Amino acid sequence: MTPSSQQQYMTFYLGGDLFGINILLVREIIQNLDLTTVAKVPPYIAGVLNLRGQVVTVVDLARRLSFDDNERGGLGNCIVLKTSSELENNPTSVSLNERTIADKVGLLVDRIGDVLPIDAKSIIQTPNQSDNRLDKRYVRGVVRLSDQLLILLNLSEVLNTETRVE
Amino acid sequence: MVDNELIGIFIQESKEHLEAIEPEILAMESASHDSEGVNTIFRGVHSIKGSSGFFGFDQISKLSHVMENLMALVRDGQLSPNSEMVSVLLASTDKLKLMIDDPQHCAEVAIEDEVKQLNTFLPAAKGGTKPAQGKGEPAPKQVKLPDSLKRFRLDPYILKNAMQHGHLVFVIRLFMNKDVKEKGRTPYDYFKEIESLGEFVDAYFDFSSISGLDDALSTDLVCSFLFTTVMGSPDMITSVFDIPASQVEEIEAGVIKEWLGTNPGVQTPEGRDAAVFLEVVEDESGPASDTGHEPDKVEEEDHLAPTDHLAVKASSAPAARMKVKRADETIRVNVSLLDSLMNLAGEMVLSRNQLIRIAENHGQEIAGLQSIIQNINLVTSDMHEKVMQTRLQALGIIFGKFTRIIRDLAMKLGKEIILDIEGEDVELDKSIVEALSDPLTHLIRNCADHGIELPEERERMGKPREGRVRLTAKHVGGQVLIEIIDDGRGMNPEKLRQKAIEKGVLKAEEAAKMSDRQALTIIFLPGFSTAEKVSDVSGRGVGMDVVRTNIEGLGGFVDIDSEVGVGTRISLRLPLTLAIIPAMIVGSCGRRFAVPQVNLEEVVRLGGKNKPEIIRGSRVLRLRDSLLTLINLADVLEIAPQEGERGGATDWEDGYVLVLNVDNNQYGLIVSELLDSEEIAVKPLSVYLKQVGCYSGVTIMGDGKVAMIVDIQGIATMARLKFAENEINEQSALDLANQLRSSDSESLLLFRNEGLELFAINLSTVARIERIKASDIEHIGKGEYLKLGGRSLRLVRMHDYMPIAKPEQTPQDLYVLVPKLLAKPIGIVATQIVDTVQTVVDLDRETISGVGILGSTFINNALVLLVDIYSLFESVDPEVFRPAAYPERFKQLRALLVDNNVFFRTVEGDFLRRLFGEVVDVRNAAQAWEKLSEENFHVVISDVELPGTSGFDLCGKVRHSERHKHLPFIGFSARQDPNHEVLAKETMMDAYQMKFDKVKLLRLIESIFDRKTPRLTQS
Repeated sequence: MTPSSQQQYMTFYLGGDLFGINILLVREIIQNLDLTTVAKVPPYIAGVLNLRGQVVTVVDLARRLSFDDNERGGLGNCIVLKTSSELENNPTSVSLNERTIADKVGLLVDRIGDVLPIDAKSIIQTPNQSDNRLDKRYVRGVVRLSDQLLILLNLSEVLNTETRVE
Repeated sequence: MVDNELIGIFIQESKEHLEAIEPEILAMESASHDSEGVNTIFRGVHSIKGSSGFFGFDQISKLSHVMENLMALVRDGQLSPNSEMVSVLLASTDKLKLMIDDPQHCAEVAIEDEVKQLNTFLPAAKGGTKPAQGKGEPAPKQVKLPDSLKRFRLDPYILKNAMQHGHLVFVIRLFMNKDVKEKGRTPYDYFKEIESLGEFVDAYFDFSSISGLDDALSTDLVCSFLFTTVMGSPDMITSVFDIPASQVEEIEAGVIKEWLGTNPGVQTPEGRDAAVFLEVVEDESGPASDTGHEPDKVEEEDHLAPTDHLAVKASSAPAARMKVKRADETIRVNVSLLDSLMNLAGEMVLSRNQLIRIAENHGQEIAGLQSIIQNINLVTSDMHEKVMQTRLQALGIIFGKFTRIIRDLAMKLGKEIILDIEGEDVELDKSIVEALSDPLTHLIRNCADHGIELPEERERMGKPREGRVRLTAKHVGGQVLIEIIDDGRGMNPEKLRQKAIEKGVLKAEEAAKMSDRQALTIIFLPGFSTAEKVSDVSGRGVGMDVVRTNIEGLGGFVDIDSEVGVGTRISLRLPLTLAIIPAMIVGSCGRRFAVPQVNLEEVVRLGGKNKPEIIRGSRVLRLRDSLLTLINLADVLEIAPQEGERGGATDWEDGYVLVLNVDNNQYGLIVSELLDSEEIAVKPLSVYLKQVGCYSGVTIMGDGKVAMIVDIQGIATMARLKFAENEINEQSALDLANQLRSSDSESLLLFRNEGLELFAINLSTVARIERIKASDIEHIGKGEYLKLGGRSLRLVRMHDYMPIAKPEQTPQDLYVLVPKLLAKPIGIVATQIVDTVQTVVDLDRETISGVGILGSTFINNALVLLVDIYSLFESVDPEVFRPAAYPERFKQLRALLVDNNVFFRTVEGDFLRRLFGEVVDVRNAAQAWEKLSEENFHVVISDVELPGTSGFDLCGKVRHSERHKHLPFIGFSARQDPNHEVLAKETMMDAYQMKFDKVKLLRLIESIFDRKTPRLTQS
């Protein structure tokens, strides 16, 4: 759709694994989280935080992807995503075939990586080689980088509350 | 051609006029109408006439003109309003509304009927001389008029009046671009200005100057106004309107007089003006009378600016007059702007809270900071309040229309209904007021349609012919309470239950479980309508559930209360505004929660006398003679305290109880800390948090931290508090409390069959009580049957089987007691339900006995016969209810019967004694255990719901004892509860059964002893 098949991806680490999401979906990144935990929520909800008067629900991505706790490292950074209406009102992201949800949501990750340009052609759609710890529904594709595998997340599935976590 | 924007303003303003007019028209019908109201109508139609005139909406101006004429006569006391006139005026208002909604096509609306009808009220002299019809045609006359006057519709009445009082007549021309748009005004503003200076006669747009499309785009449209005024010279006009002298033209009085002279059909008979004038002069009783001020205007201005009266009259003081007009001017503001203002104010309040918190710690370090903070604090609160006020609207806006709705409905339905409205001035957030319109309309319609009876019916019932509907609004503790009360027929809970079952909205068991109060809420269930016939007046049963959904969507509650024959009251409780609510900030396990004040009734400190008790496994607090079920917040949310934090799931003795009320159900929520009472801004929950079900929103506290807003209803649901059964629970909890004191107390239903004999039946054996008509009973063979919930219920009359008085004749109104949990239900016919009592039964089995009679007792000094329904039914239908034979093989066995209830203990005892060699009966588990440790039994038959230790616990104890672990144990229950079956399995009961089916019980006992050899528990 876009003239250039290259798109920018925001990368981040969960444990030793490198993940990426389209940067157009990202609103901002916050560090020094002041999280308030909420009782009775699903285990993958880390809590809520106050982002300049807006309440953001923070999804613990590692838990959501069913990673073991002992693989965790780092103090936690939060990638705050754009809401679905923010995406719709933004012409640059309107062509994205990925959607977020209407609520303000952030992803809790261990460490923020670089922003990488990824050529659509280099994305391997059927990630057989992908880590089998990871549920395939959450994976949009993988990219073989020189030193590491980059897993591109399927955010629609990750954020979908209907999707069961085993 | 005319700017759409301007037409939009015309539509909006005209609608406002119509809204103001309608209640006044309705008021004319009542005795209370006053001249001010009539003036309002007059002014309204007058303005509409004027503005529609210059837009060229002829039909509108024609109709409003006739209305104006009629109102002028009413105002001057020449006509007195009657109901017929009101109807016509209302119909005309409707037509105006219709046309104003789409003024461009108003020509397609037929108004001839209305005009004709309106004209019938006008005196014949007037009727003939309507002003010339149609624009662009000069009125028929002989006089040569100046060009500038030719296209106006001249109103002889106004002009004559002006001439008599020496007013001047002017024509001004306004350019749409130059004078209207560029100055940021509307033609309407000019019109109002004219109205303040004198009297508007007519206006028109000059389209003739436009010859082609190009022209239309480039040429400035001209609008001309003709009016009379008290102003003495053209330059005053130019200065007031801020237009050049070239656009003002004074019409010579001579020309007007000449025109008037050649128009013999001058509208008002001579003498009328003089008469009115004199009256006014007397009223004024001042020198002002000779200024030639027009009398009608005096009245109007009296209303608008009473103190400015004299200044207004002085023609040389136009400036003063303008000033007064400006003073009460309003500005139209876009609602979205108000919305964002409110959001900003909300944020400001939050930032203020944060600031205060920080200043608390550092206030001493900077001199003067405290006082500044205090100032900011006050100003912010004030500002927030004011911003909220800008969004507040008086309920009168929607209440106003109900007078009309009720009037129309009453006429249509042939009813006589008076609507009393109170509290129109109560204000609510605009969005709430708007959202209330539909639900309230529905409720009001329901009152008129279903609630209020026909006049004849009311008379028969000894009520006044006129039904009353009261619509009231008032502030109650930070909320607005709106009530709709009628004195109509009320709602019959029993009928509602039946209907709900028939329609499949509810299951029979569910319906039977509901208390009467709860049964009334059936009307809020989707798919339910009590109207026997669907009429076009009230809905098709889609209404009430929508009403409830809407009100709850606004954060409000609906409640209903009704008494058959007396009336119905529906109460709506609503928050003042949506986004900011007062809340109590509480703490538990180091977390903070906000509890909406709306639900909070009081707070009780635990400790000392306020100590929770445990009744049947749940904790309750005795609070002023009632029992409050307690829920521990930490328990429900499964949170545990960290070190040094207070609260926790096991902490029931310390902290506070928030007494909360949801839909008339109370419970107490235990929290460990009370922190603050604060206004909080409610933020919506994300989908993840909504799923949890125990939060209603989220908010940001003064220190910037996030706190959850507790969903009172959700917490209760989560704590498995079945509110549907709450009243029953409360009752049974109270029963239990009583039973703890005196374990033999029981609930009895007192009723009569016929004559004076008083009967009692244990309330726990009754599934429900139906009110029926004798004609509802069907006779099949000798038997009597009643159709109930789609099934036939056999009926028995007690006197057919029992040794009691037989009635001489049966009344029409009967009751049927339907016992529960029987192999085959049979209904007992009663003629009167007397009461229900909670009492200790001292059963006398000797004095009075016989089939179906358990014995007698005294209740409140009256002799009462206790009915043994089981033995009654045995004689009614022996095949079903009487065991074929009592086997001999149990004759050697000993049984232990445990039941706290005299009634059951006696009935069950009677049965068991025919079966077993010996039956020992005790009242509770403690006594049972005592017997078990002293004596030996072959079987235990126990009620599972016992005071203190339950039957299940007793069974568990039996199973755990070496001595009794193989002892057959049968559990009994008078109440169906799925938990019981689970518990019965868990405690390894041999059988668990409902009370009290002899045949089944016998079979059970036989099957147990087929499996087990009966043996004494002694090892």
